[in-house]
Amino acid sequence: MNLSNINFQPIQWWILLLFVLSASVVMMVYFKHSKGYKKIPLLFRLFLFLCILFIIFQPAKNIRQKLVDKPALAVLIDTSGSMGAKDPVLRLDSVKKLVNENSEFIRNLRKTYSIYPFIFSTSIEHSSIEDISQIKLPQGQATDIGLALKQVSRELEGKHLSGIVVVTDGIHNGQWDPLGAARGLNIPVVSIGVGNREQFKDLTINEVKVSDFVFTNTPVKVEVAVTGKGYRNQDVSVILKQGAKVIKTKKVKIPAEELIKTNFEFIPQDTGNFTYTVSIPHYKGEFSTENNSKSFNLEVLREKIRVLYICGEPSWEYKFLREVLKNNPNIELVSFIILRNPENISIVNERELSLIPFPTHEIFMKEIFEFDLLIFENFSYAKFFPRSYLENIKKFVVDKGKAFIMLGGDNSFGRGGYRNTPIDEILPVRLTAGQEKMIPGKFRLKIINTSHPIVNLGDSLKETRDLWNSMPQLDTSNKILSAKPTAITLGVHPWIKENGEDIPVLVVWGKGKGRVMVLGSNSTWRWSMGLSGAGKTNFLYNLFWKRAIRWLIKAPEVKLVNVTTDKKEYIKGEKIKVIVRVFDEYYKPLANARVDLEAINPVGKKIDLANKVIETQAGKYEVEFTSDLIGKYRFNAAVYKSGRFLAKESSFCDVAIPDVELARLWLNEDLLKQIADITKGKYFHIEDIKKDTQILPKTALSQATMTSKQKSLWDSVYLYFIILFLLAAEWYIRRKSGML
Amino acid sequence: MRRLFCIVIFAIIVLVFPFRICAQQGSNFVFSQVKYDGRWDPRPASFGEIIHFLSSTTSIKPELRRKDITLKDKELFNTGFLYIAGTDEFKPFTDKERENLRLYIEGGGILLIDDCLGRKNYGFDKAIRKEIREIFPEKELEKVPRSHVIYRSYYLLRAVGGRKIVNPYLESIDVDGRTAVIYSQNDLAGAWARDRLGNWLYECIPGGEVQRLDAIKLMVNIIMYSLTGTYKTDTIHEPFIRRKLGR
Repeated sequence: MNLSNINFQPIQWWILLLFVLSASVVMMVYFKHSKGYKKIPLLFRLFLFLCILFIIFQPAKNIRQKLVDKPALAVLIDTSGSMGAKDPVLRLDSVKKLVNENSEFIRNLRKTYSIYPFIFSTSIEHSSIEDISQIKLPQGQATDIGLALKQVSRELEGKHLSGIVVVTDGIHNGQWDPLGAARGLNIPVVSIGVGNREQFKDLTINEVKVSDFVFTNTPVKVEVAVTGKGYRNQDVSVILKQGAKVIKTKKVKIPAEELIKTNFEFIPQDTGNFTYTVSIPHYKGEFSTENNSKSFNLEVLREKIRVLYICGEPSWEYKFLREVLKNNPNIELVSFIILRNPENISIVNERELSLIPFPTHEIFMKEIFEFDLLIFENFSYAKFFPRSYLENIKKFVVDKGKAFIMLGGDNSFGRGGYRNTPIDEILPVRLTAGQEKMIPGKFRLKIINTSHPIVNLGDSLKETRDLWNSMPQLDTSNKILSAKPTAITLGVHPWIKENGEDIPVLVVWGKGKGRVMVLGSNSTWRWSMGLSGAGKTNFLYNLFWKRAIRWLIKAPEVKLVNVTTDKKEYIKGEKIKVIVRVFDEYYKPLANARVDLEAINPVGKKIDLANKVIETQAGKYEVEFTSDLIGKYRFNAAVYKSGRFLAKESSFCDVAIPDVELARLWLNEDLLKQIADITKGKYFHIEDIKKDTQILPKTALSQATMTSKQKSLWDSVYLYFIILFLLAAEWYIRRKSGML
Repeated sequence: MRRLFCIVIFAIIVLVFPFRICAQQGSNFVFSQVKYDGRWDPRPASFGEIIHFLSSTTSIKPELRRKDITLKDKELFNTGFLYIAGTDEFKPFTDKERENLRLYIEGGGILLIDDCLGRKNYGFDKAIRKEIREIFPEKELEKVPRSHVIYRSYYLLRAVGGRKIVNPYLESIDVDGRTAVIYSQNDLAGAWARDRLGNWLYECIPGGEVQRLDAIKLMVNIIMYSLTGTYKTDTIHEPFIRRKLGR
């Protein structure tokens, strides 16, 4: 027996010392007090101690034997975004050419090894050679070679792992140090580099900066940063496109530092959500075209809200509201005030008056549809134009989706002769037969629907109520008797009632495609003055009118259905959260609505999400799903309540691969060589692997094909019988010789 | 007893429902005049003329009663136009009055100052300039340029009028980009005043009736400006006004 093949269990030295000392003392005492044949039991006891010592050391024999099974070989394939680079061949295609069921490389490996294929980017994932050959586009958001090495060695523990083959471009941007991970392995790593080995030349759109939303007919500035590695002093074209349409092209000279910033300015004409792309064409010798473009989304809003304000006589209401409208850069105001009525006399020649003709035909028959909002304040039409012109105002609201406000006064509503006219049809209040009365005196508007965006001026409904309770009083209102059935009454007169019902003062509704607001008083200017008198700013007065206009023109923030995603851009594989907020006509969150939500993925496939929508809180409906493709996802929501269709809205988001994968695209052979050196493996470029290439070093293979196991020498039933025999023999001798 | 009962009922109606017996105001033009400790109403005969003229020559519907208010009165903030006139030096405003007047002007109100004496650095002019300096220490009264909308808000004016011509211009202070304080030292109201028989109370010097007409037109323009702001600066008016002015 070769003693070098025997292992002993290491034990604490003091236990051994204690045992030897105890045994020696016992033996010495026995030896001193025993004479002649009586020393025989002492012999048995000595053997017994030796047996116990044998058990304490737990000796085992090493037995090495050749494996019957093939050794394991892990094959790690990088499927991060950078593997989608074309330089000039798509990197993943090179890999698929090497790693497929029919390739010589795989067939040769299978002769010697049991292959365990994995794909990796930010972590490893079990795969198969067949699955790898099916991957169309690598979409991993980052590359962590260090983590992949660690995970694969742990995953295949106990499977006689003989080595790891890692096929990658070496663009490591993960957290784990790949060299540190390599040092922790006791098996060789064969790294196979994928990518162009020539001198690196690449043009990259590094950064695009632009506002999230812009206005039509207003210049938009797009800041672009371009890196031109290997293109110093060369002119490069940078192109801005909206969809496929080229908006602008610029030539930039790449400076010595190889980074240049440039700007584009353009004026969007149409409203809506658009995708723009900044790109550089493919230049000769360029390493990759993958990073030559960057897209961004832009929400183009209407540049100005066009307001037409017709005022029946000079008034402070006009003057104050004019200031609100004029001070808003997003509003373009055109106004006409009737400064002189036909019955007024003139003491001077017409040429000494600044009066201009009221171009009613041009305004109401031609220009009206160019406006977004029409305001009538204390204006009676009959003196100025025929009733037929009012048809266009109805069309303006009902068909064209525009907005109309009628403010109170002596010449408004029924007093202005609007009963049974097209205006009567679009107003949310009933006009009484004859002239309605005026209610003189000051009053504080009583708000009865605080949640509506027009009057919800506070951060909370309680604050809104408090604000309205402390608002200055209005003065004089038209006695509008009732609101029409589907109208929303926001404010009423605080004490005047008709048939026990509050007299409406502030009423709104949607009529056809448009919206209408009625305010039965033209004294809201008192809010501004009154707030000032109380030492406050006129912020609330401005806010009321701003909110009213935004609601009337259906600004995005006051829609009844609002579809958003928790982020505008996602990384592929990330969960997209779609949030649909639904409000009733009073802008209270609408619970128990049916939200039919569908997603349209970047390749145009519809994904029905309706069954997955969960109402997380009243009026808030959410759904989560995983983004599995790169590109634009669109979400369409149709909302129903009790079977009645409410509204339909859309939103979109982008799914992209992270910039970190595109920031540095060239093959990192240095890193792959270092990993191979540390693990005593080998490095190959993918193009250098031939049919007869020996992948793993021979020593590694021979080590991997042998296995060793230990046979315990002490854990034997015979040893226990020997111990039993020694104890029994000693006892028998002692009994026979009278030593007990 | 029955008489006492009637008085009590009347008192309740007057005290509890004052709005019922107030004249309707709404957004109508109210000529509000400042009462102060001094000779605050030197041209009482002018108001009726102004109101009558406004209602017969323009679409403005003025309240028929003048509102006389002190600067302490919260009613100040229920009007968009405030007129202050005088001939003599007056007792300085209190801090509260100054503060109210500042809030009124900053809140959007228009203040028209009319020196009915028409003497520079004397009497009313001296006192009111001091008050304006106290209220707006960082601002100064400046000449209103002839291109200002005040000169075209209703009549196309080529000259300023008044009972006399102390300054052939108006002065003003702008607040938040808006001309909010207008000062005439030419006794504007004096040119309007008539006796009960309809005769002019004061002769207009040196321009006579042309100067009076200018004063009338200027007062209308200032009131119109207080109600329409910069309306006449809108682009749509430009070609018409230019044509009429012969430019």
